[in-house]
Amino acid sequence: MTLATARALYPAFTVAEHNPMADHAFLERIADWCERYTPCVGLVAPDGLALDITGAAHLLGGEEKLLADCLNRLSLQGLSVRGAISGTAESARAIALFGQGGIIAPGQEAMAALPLPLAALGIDNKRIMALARLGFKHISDIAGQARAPFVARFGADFMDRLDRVQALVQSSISPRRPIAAYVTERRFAEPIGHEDDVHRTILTLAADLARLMEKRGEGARRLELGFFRADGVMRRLEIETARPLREPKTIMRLFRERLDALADPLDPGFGFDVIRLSAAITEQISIHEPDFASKNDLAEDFASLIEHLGVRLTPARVLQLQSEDTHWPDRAAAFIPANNGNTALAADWDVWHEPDYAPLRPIRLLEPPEPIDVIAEIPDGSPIRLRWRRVFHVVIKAEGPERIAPEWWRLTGQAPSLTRDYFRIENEYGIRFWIFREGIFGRECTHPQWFMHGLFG
Amino acid sequence: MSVTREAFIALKQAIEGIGRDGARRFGGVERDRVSLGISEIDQILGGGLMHGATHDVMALTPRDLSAASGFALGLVGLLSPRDTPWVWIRQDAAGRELGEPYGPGLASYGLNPAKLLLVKVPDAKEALRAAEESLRCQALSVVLLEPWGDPKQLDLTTTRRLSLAAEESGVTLITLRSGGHSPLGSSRTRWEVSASPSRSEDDFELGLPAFLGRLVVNRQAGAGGPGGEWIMEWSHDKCLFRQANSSPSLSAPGDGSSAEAPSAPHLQRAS
Repeated sequence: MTLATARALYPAFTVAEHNPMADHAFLERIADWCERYTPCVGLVAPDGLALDITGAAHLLGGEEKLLADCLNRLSLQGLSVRGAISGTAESARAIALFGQGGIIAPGQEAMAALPLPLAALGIDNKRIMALARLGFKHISDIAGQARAPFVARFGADFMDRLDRVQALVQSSISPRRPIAAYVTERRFAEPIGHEDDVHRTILTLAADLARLMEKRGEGARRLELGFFRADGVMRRLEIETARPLREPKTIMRLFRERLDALADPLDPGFGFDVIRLSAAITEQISIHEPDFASKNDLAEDFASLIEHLGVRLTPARVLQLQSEDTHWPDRAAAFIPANNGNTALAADWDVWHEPDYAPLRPIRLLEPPEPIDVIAEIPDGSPIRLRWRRVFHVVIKAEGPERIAPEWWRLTGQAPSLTRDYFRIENEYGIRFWIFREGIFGRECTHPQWFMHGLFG
Repeated sequence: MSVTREAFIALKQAIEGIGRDGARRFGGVERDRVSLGISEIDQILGGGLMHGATHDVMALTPRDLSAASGFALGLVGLLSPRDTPWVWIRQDAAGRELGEPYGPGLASYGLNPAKLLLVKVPDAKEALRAAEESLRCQALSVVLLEPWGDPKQLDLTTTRRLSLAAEESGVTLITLRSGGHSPLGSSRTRWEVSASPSRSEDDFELGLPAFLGRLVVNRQAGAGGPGGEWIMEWSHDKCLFRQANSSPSLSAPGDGSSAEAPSAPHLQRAS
């Protein structure tokens, strides 16, 4: 039916443009929420979810209860849902979409699939039409036929799909996110929303997690806290630590920091009915690790400082300097996040020891360099006056030039940068600047531009 | 009457015990001091700059900010052994205005960049939080706090908290203040710093960086005077300040700016 016909039949109807991106995002959100049933949730584009409930069903009182609970909660959120439980994801999908839904007992999948139309195989319309012309309309028409002609005519995946829908071969769900090594959770009959309750829950979860990790001598480098709201919203918080961690109080403190620093606070809505803590990345910790509460180990203390600051400010704001092997000033030092598990960086900084002379490099670097106006005696001479940020400075002393050539071996395919002549200058008040002239006059350019690059102490 | 008097003295002692005097607070144990490299200043400071305390460095005018950074980093160099981590907390605005710490520059200034933990904070509130957190970490030697402008959060209560945290852990806090005439707070010393022209006589040689440092608040235990004003050069090689040999303009040391120890002799610098 065309839109015009539909409108003629029923003028009051609202039209919304199909937005696959939004649909996908919505599906992702439902998938997040479905993690309350199992950590292994896969997307079945465009509108399905596959949950691997192996070993998870008994936690909710069996498969019937799980399915009923899931469908019920999703319909309460205003969705129309159909579901089935079966031996493979494909079988479950076929039963849910084209059959009666419900639970297919193990071994019954092949039988259950027989009355379904061929569309249940999830193949494209062209092949379905072609099969229909040949008289094949249902799975029962194909099951038990010689395979080779079908493979020859309809592609190698055709029979594979048939096998999967009949659960004759095993298939696996590819989870959206890596499955955490350790997971602990609490479910509440009555959703909780009070801050104290949430904090207490996090602490008990952290204690559970610590016990699990202790058995294998591991600690968490990345932790995830999932809040499942009763009304179908799921919120996930992550923290990264600077060292393998399992002390519950410390984990608790880090999450509190994280919760405090949230730009949009955690909204409990009608309350959380599941809270889950999982250790996404873990590492071995040595048995001789001291108690984290003790203040004796300074390195430990420092690592915990990095962690706290990182959790509150994001790891990208807590940095260490790393020396880079290059003479190009912009790249000579790199800031790297300090929670790299390596609190002691190699100290291979070249130190220019010229006892009674000014340091060669500024203590602070402007990135990027700021253009300045400079008056020089001759185009390739020392500066005499300069204007930076609308302030004039008279150059009293100037040391230079220090000519620094660009790293031509790095420049592949981009415009070559120009040679820089650096000057260390002092103005009339004794303030020192690091400035450079870009380009060699007469050879690389005719009007070299000057830049302010750093400030000396 | 005598009972009242005794009670009064006991109370006074108790108050002093809680008070600013770190030496008493820590059961008479003198806290570590570090020499600035200039004996006259060390004497006025009562034996050098105190560890585990808070010190303020202020730029005299906005254009002296880079000099103040240099002076503050000099203090970091004095107070921080080369193998001990130190923290620089800087507000984003300061990084934009004055530039980010530059590794090779810090190395050539006599510091160890490998031990620097740079903490970038978006605003003054986070800066103070990070500073307090850092001051509790005994692994550190120095925390350099660089808020931008004159944040109202940096009030007497907050500076007091920071001083207490510093006293407890023995970590030294240096606050590099970029502007405004903020309240005094509870720092042990406050320096007003401006750039000073190089001592070098050659136009094509910069020589060591020079500062005009004015000690405007001196509340160190055993302080030998209210303050003073010196022209100092930072010797990155020895990691010490040294007195500039020729000093063209020197006024009398700060008078009236420090209400404390009024009986201390008025110090005149012999040139």
